[in-house]
Amino acid sequence: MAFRKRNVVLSRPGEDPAPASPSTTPPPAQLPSGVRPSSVDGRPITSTGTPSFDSILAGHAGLPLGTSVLIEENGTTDYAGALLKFYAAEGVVQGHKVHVVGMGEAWGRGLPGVATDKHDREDKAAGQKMKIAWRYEGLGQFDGSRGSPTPNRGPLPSGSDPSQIGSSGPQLFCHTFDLAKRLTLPVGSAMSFYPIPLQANASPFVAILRNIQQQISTSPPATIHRIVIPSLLSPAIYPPISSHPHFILQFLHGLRALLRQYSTNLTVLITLPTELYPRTSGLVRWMEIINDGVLELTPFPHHVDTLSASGAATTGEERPQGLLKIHRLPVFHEKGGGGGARSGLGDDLAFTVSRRKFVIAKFSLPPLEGDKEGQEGVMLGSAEGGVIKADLEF
Amino acid sequence: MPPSSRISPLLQPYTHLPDRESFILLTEVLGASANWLVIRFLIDALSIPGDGEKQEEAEVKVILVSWLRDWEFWRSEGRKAGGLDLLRLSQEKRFAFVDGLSKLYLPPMPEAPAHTQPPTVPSQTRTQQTTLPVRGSRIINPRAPPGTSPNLTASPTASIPPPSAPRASPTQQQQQQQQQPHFSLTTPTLAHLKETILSAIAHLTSAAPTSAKILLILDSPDTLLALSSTTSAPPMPTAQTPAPLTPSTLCSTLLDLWTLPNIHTLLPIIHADTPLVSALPSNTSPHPPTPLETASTAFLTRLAHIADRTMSCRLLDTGVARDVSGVLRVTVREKGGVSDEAGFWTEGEELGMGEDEGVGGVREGELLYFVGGDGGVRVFERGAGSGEA
Repeated sequence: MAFRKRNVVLSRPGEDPAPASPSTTPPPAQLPSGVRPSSVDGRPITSTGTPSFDSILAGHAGLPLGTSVLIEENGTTDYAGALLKFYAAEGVVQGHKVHVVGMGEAWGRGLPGVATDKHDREDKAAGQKMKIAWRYEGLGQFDGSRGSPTPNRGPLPSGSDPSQIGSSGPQLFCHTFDLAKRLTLPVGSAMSFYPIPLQANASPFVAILRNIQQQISTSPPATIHRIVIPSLLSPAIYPPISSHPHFILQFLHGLRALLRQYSTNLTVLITLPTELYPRTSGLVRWMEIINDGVLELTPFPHHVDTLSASGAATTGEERPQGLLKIHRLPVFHEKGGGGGARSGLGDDLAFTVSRRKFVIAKFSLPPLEGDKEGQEGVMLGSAEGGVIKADLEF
Repeated sequence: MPPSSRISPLLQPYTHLPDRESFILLTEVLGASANWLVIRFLIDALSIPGDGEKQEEAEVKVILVSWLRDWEFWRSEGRKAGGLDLLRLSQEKRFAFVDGLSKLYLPPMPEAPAHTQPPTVPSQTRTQQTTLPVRGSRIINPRAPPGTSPNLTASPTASIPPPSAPRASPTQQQQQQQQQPHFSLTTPTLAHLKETILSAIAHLTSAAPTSAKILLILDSPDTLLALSSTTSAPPMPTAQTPAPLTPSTLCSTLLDLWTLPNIHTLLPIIHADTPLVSALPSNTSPHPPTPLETASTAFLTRLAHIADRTMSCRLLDTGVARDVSGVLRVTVREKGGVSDEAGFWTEGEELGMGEDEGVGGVREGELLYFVGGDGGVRVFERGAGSGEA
């Protein structure tokens, strides 16, 4: 081994996956369930429970451990809550420990269950994909068209040996959930809930942060934790004093310190109603600065639905319910950001929530009524998966 | 790879430290972080006289105070993007890291009191043994073979002053903390900040001659302003705390630090997002500015008036592009600004728009930059395309 040349640019992925991944933190020998190395730089990532959400995270195809994402939503809807539920449910299914701040056990009982029939179909499809081109299987939908050099990652997490695979099948990284079903929680307490202490003068967050820290520090070191904070600062849950900038920002700063301390064990997803806390305020901007990723959901008003219903081109697919803007992505923007090619940053993204999935896709307006050529073009374009758009760019 | 080639020639005049003491202000906005630029400053300061043995000019040392990013981030970024081994440099007392993130607002672990910690020396040797194979397996810097590391690790870690004594924590974190020869901020007060930086300076200059030039980088000192309670409550002028955290006290603390004998250049990185800089009294928005916004605006404006050179990263005005990460705008203070003994400028403009060339022969201008996935940065003029660096 001493004479082997290391750090060659593209090492053969089949041989020795561990040194091939130039990660900042060397991946542990046995990756926990639901964690795999990133296809970009090998750092451990975990799934958000929503495949298209995973795919917009700057090519990592998952949420890097040790990072947080703040999802803002304006209006009175709660589409972001669906993302949170998928994220929490994925954690429960993968055996991660889920910490829910501010919500009671009823929220935990309302998590979506794993979609069974869909599950089988997806499994079969995944198996087929493995046969054809296993190395592209882990890449997100945006990466497929990227044409980038082959990412240097192993075909499987480094700890799994072939015999294990044969017996239990490939581990699912991201499950499909059905919002109409209910997840049956395992017997052990997979979720812990942190109520907001109603104190008159002190910050409610100090106790929460301390409790979370204690829970994490007393659990086994290999446990993966997910912190879910729904509707941060919503007056329905939080006392008025908690929106004082120093209370909330100190909490987020402490949370960031916790994330960095447990940089291979912890992820955080937060939603924030921007109807009450607009993005133009300094407080929200500081919250965005302290978090690693910032997404903004802008649901369409209802009358737009009826307008776009006349667009004949979108008959095959469900109409999007709103726009999704990416303001900041974990890891990617911390390094300085680097063009939109890899992240889908330059595209207009829209989201669609249906019974069993939350889909983030590129958004395009339907062609005009009666524009037959345009309609055909769109049909063709959607069939070929956006090749047309790529052609037009040059 | 020679270090100079890691910095684009267009960028080099800006990241090179000026000959005389100066105050360089970096600003960033959400989505256009200035971390890559900080790394370029680190490269320029730390890698030039590394093994060239040219001792005619004083060695440059760096203190990096970071309130939003941890040591691990800077270490890995410095290694990947800059080829710097910050750990080795800190053992050589050329680099010191002050951690303002991990212990500032995270309460100490209640169930792990410090006195149960095993004696320091055995634990150090143990952690070095366990961590070294990991480092040695990935050799980045060919000048630092893994065999030399143990000798270097031994002394500086032990000679760190008490503020950096690691708190007891699980062994995994303990290993990381033992590895980091750095200082930590534990309370968000200005006195503590000053004290910690002074001890970092003392640490760096303890062995070296006093003529060392120190570059003091402050990553987001405005975090202190945002997180402190005095921004939302009216500042209390009473003497219960020696220095309440207001824009003016924070600013004067920075200036105090700048006038310390060994500090050559002060380099704060401030957030300049629109909500944080637009709280002007003449603002006609429907909402009156909040104290947080007012404080941020006041602080940034003060610093911008003092700064010799302002380098601001922002996003492209025209939206996201595939090959451009953002715009770097450099403004240079006009000639004629005179500083008195205390370091306060008596005259000057915020944006030296009048002359093309300011203090230190640095030209003003706008450059585009692109941060690649590998950490490499291309800097080019507007319209120069993507062909050249």
